[in-house]
Amino acid sequence: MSLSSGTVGQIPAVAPPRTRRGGTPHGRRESLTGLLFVAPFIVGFIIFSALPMGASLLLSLTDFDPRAPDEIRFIGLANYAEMASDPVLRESLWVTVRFGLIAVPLTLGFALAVAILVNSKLLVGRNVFRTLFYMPIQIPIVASTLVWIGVLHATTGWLNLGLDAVGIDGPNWLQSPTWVGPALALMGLWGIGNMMLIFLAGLQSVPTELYDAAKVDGAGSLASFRHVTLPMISPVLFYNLIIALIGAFQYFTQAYVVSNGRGDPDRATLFFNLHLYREAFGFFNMGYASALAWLLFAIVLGLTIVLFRTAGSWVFSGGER
Amino acid sequence: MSATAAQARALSATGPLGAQMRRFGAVAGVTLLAVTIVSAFLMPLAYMVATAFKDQSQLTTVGAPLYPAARETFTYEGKELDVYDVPTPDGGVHAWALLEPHREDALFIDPANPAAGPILWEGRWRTLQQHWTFSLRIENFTNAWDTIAFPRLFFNTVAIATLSTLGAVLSAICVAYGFSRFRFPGRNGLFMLMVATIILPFQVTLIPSYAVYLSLGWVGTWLPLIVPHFFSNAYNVFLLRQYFLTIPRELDEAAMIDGAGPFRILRSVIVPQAKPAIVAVTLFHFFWAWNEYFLPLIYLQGQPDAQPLAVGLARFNALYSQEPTLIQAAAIMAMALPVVVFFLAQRAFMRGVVFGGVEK
Amino acid sequence: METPRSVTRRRPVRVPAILAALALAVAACGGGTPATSQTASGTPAASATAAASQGSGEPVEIEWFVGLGTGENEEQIPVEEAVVAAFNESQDGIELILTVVDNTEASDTLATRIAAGDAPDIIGPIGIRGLQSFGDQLLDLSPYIGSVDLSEIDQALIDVYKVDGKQIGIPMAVYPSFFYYNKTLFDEAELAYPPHEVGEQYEGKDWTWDTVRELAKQLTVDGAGNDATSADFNADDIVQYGLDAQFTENDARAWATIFGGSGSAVADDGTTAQWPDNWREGLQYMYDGIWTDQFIPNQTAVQALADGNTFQSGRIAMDVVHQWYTCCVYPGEGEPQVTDWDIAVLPEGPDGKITSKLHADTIGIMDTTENPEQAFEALSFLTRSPELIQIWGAMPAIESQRADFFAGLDDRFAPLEIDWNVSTQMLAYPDNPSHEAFMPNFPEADSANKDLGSKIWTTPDLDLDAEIDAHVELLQGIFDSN
Repeated sequence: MSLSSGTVGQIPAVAPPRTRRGGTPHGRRESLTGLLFVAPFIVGFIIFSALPMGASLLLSLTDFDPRAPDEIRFIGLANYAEMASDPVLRESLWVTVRFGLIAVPLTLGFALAVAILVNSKLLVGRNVFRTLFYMPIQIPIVASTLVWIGVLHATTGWLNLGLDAVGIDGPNWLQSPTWVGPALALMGLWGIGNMMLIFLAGLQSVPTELYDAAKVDGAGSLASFRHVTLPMISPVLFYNLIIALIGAFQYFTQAYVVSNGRGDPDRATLFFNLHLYREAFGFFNMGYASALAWLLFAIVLGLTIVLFRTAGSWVFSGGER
Repeated sequence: MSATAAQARALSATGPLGAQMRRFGAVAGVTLLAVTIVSAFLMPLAYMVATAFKDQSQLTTVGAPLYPAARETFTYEGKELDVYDVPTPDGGVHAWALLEPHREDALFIDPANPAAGPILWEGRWRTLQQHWTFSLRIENFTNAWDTIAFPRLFFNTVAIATLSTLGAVLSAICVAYGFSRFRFPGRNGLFMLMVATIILPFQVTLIPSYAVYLSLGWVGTWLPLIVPHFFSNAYNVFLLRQYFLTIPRELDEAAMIDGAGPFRILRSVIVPQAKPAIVAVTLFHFFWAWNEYFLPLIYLQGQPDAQPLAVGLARFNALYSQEPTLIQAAAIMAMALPVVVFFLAQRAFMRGVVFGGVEK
Repeated sequence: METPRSVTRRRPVRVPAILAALALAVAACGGGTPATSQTASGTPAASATAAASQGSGEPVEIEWFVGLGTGENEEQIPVEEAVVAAFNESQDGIELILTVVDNTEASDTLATRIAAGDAPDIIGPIGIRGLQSFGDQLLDLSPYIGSVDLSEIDQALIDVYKVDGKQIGIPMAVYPSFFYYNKTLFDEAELAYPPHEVGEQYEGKDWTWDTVRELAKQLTVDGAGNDATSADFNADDIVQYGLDAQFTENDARAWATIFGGSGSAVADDGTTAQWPDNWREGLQYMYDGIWTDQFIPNQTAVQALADGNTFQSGRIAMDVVHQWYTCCVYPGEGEPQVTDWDIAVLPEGPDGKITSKLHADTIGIMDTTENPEQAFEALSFLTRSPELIQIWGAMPAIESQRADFFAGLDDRFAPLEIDWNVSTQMLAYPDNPSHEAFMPNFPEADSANKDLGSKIWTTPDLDLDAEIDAHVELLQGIFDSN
């Protein structure tokens, strides 16, 4: 903290008017301070991320087989060319996109609804409800996937036993190409804990006086949600959206577990990353898998940049400049 | 509440008491809604708890109840026999023990009168109702505890999760502050670069990362699981940056006028204002580290004494001898501390932040 | 706060060529980025570690990697730990280190470590299928093998581990397959037990898969007590199945071999895909057993039966499994559901022969090891340890050790008296070629076979012949892309 007191002395007592351009002595100092604060990221990136990322990019230009690292050969863009004739790739992209289009809005909406519910002053025992809604993601993954396989079993699973009790003949969730998607979406809903927590943190940032003002203006609860809550939590909504998007494209663990690692039934769960994983470690085509990874990277980064571009029009920021 | 309700009944439902009534109705409605949603939501959790307390044989027995139960048995000539409700032609129903089943008849023993010997019953024993009694199999917990050296693994998990969280939160606060409050050349590019680090699937960076840690001499230690987090990660930084952006700049500027430098502003303005988000980041990083499975498995293989619980649990999930009851029992023990931590920590979300909480 | 247990690997770290190459490349591409200084400082650090580790007079560390086959069960690990400790006690020059990895991740983990230049020294137990993935990375043991007496081992078995002229393993364990049958369920149905001797008839009928079908249908029962031969039988409420072939992991080759006899998906030219007629018959038998006569459980039913360990549930009358299943017929926990069981010989297949598909295990040395002699010393100790063989349920490849092995099993399963003579008889009818034998582009071809198995297991109303024709075409494409 000695650093901070040292810096304090150099800051003028009166803040200068905001400058839009750097280049002034103050701007240069601001740049330096900013870089100092983000330095941990820069250093960490160089040590821990740059090399692996660069390596995977280079590997995508080779026929790398992890079992025989010495036999690596440079093959140029052949892996990228191979993608054009890989029918499984197209299939797996479609599986992923279709799932993302359903699961992302569904989980975002449900997480927000639950966050509002457990933030409500009208709810007795909020502490307990928050804990209960958060709990599922605290279950170790080895255990929770087994729980879901048990619960979703066609004949002995509790879900179908429950549906049976009200006269509905439940489907064979995990072994029907039609129903495995909804089943995975259902499993996804169970993991809303973090999203809920982030929305909850966002809801805390909505100044209560804004609600009071809205009430004075005669706004109903729906209107104040639209005109006060949504804009004020838009930064964390944006965060959750980006993270959910990345998560959807990287969807892997659940798909791996319910599909015997092969995209069963009938490739209905052959998500992009599962295809990539099979190429990398199932078939040991690490070079091709790396190329697939960079294709995914380009797609997701592109989408992310587009979202960031549009963010200015709908994401509220009180403090950015 | 009951006094209020009684008064409300006595008086007319208008005026301040009417408002109170309406409020009570709203509270009851919202709470009821939450109870309904949470019960459906937690059904799989109930399945998990029930499994943890069952005998493994109950999982596959036809007609076994859904709750943990033991078969009622009667010991006859050294053999444990299952007890069934057996209807007889005289209209009675007897609790008899099944000695020798056949397809169209069976021999039973009357536990009340075993000396009478086997009773021949005509009919299909599979259609009979078996006797089960509620019974919790606590041994699942003690066996799981002993098998995976629970205290040792628990300690490892706490240590790894705490250290990595400490590093992750401190570095994320700094970096997010840098990204949200200062302008410097290449800021947006750097930020996108950071987001990009989480976009590339880990499957293809695994081998190069392993090679990096190997050359650092870190394979076989906790370091690959802890040290990188001291250099911040995109999930945490991105979230905090988003939250910091909602904090009005007027607060910083007011502090700056009072002579505060960037570190002081961070400490006395940003951090207190962003407490809910910082708590959120702390919690989710901690729980993520608590349950992280694949990286500890890769970097701590062959060292069962240094592994965290999530890896130890997998011992009950061997390909050819799965023990679901032990997995669930161990999982419940493993999540006990995180659940308590969450329960205590979520108080941070109890009060709304009042605009301009810091003096202007 | 305790610092993490620092276990620096004392044996030389082979900084992989790939990492060095990449460091250079990144430095070149990165231009003026600070990456240059980082990579430059990273490499010397690693070589310094390597140099420091070489001079010391400490024992040589040899790492044994378990998880590619059996050996990762919760009750097997303490026995393996004890054998490793015994070896370390017995001498000073070598310190053997045990690494057990969960089967699901074992292959990925091993590939990662090989790629990063951090391969273990010894891997195993590893089966014939595992050799298809990692056999090329195993050391030729011929120079070291002189000290080992192989005279008692069947030459055919030794040849299983001869790949491209290299002897990559010593046969350690063999696992013939046979019927495990639940005597309680036969008693309940008042049916005679299946034959224990090759050539014996069953109730006046030849012991063929057709006879097994009739028997299995009688042993398949619904909740009301009707068996599968009855007109009242309710297929939606089956509580007990007559037959299963558990732990075959959807592998169509395994199923075709069990029910159809020996065969190969590759023609003699080594490049043409095929599916022999006896294999078609075998798969058809299985498919009809699952979906028409319903005496074999489909995948949904199997998951309801003890998560795949179906015989253990007590609701399977006859189950084709290997000798190694003695590992898992009693679980570690809870009351056993199968209290009275024995084993029986397999019937004659459509090709007129008995086929008992065979598994075999070995332990191998990775060709990257720095200390092959010490690794071989440790390997010899492991292959001679009867405790390991016992806990893995592995019938010793060496004939004279078998009596002790079966006596050990008798102790474990007392008071049951299992007729191990069945197992010895079945050893004479191995599948040849193996159902796990080589195919071009093995991992992908193997995966395609499992896709077919998965389809058979989960989909009713298939035109199986058409599916197999399409499968052969698919296999051909995979073979050709090699």
